[in-house]
Amino acid sequence: MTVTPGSAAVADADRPLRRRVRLDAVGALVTREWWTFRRVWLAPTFGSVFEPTLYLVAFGYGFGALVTDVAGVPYLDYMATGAAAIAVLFTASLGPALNGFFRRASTHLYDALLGTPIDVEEIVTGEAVWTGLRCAGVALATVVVAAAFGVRLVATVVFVPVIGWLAGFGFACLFAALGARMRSPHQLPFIVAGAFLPIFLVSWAFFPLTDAPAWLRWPSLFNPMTHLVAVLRAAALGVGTTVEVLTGVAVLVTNATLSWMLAVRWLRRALIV
Amino acid sequence: MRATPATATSPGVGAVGAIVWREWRVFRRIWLAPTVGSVVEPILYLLVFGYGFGALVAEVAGISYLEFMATGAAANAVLLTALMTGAFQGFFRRTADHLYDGLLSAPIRVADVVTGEAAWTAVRSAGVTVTTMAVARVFGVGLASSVLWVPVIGLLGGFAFACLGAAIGARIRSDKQLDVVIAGVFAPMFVVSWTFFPLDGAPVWLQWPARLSPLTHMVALLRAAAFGHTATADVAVHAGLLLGFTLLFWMLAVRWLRRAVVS
Repeated sequence: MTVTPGSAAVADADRPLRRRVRLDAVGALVTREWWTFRRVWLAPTFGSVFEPTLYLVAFGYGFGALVTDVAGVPYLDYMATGAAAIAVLFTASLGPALNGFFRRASTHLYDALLGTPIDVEEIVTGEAVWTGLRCAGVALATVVVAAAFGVRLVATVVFVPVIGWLAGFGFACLFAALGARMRSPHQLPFIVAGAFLPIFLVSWAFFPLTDAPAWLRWPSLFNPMTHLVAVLRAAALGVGTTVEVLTGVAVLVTNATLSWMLAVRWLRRALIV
Repeated sequence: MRATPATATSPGVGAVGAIVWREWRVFRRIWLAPTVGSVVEPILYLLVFGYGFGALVAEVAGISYLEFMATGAAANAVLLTALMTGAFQGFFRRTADHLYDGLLSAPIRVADVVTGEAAWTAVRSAGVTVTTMAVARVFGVGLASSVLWVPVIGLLGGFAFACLGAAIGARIRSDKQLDVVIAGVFAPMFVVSWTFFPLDGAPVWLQWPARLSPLTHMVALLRAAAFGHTATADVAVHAGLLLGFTLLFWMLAVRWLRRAVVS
């Protein structure tokens, strides 16, 4: 990695457009996140592990009593992988958006960071890398819980944390981008209703939308969450075709890339210009 | 808008009215975001669960799944509106804004604050049930004439959950603990209260706590009102329990908020 000298706060226009993201800066930010997390870990960990477990149990028993097999697997198995995806989304959505808002507008953390040789790209990357790691953890925890409930897993389940990281990175960037646009915490319902709920619900997390009307099915196919669920299902349960898995991974990579670019652009606009 | 009638000089009805009036003036400035949320959310739930799960199951508990889900969505919208508002607002108004310190230096008691805030949230909750039922009507859910009771049930349920939220908001010490409230209080009620699916077939350890959830009784009342076919005795039991929870939560909120701001 090239080390670019100079502080980020000055002469934004003089800098080359595509700056390298330096590993040491990202590492410093991830370490900072870890230090913060160490002090508050209990509440968020309880939330991100208990909540998907609850969805797994309640929907597994609730809907499971009404339907037995969905898309060729028992509903509990179907829901278990959905719950892992939900855990990733919950960890990497409203948290990053609110964090982004409060760190920018209330604690002025970003102003302080930009006073050091750290740039907007590195802030976005560092925070998303960290959120991705937490997502990997909660996805793993959810499949462990699922195994305890008797969901039969295949050997490729070891890829679940990797998939969780990739999707978590993408969602974290997407919601950080939205957080960079917030002007008041009262605007949070816009993000909930406009981004979080559609991603959460118009996906295949709870049930396949194969029989839904085309106007509902088609948008769901463009939802990264749908592909996260498909790839998780393939890894944990061994269902799905190679094409589905490759498509899913490609969508997740695309989501991560585009969301990262959006987050960098909007956070820079919010902080610097 | 007319000038304020809210010059509360003595505690009681005047003070509660002043708090409600204050809430309205705050809401007038931020109304768009919560209103959009309360309309878009039920639409999404109805769309996805109605079409997605409705394709897998036709009938639940004697009604079509879309009808089951529509009433569940109304109850969940009240829970979201009232419990979250109560807890978040209660916490931030107490610790960050010091609003209660300001209010209590006026001739207003803790009980007036709790009642006034919950009364306003109850009005909003009633509105949310109305928008949800209107959305359901557009989706083709057939409603009985007793649907006119729905806002009344929304008012009562909204008051209860606003008080529960306020009670919790008075106890928590850090905004990180709000995560625990969401995962430990909101989410369990949200999914196990006969809102998305009945739990009659669930194991006993899951079913009995679920039967004790106040939301279970609220959604039962909403279904009775919307579709007009439940025995009077059942309605009386559910209404009685919901009233009991309301009283309990109000007392808890007053006690815990007093302890947090006065002593």
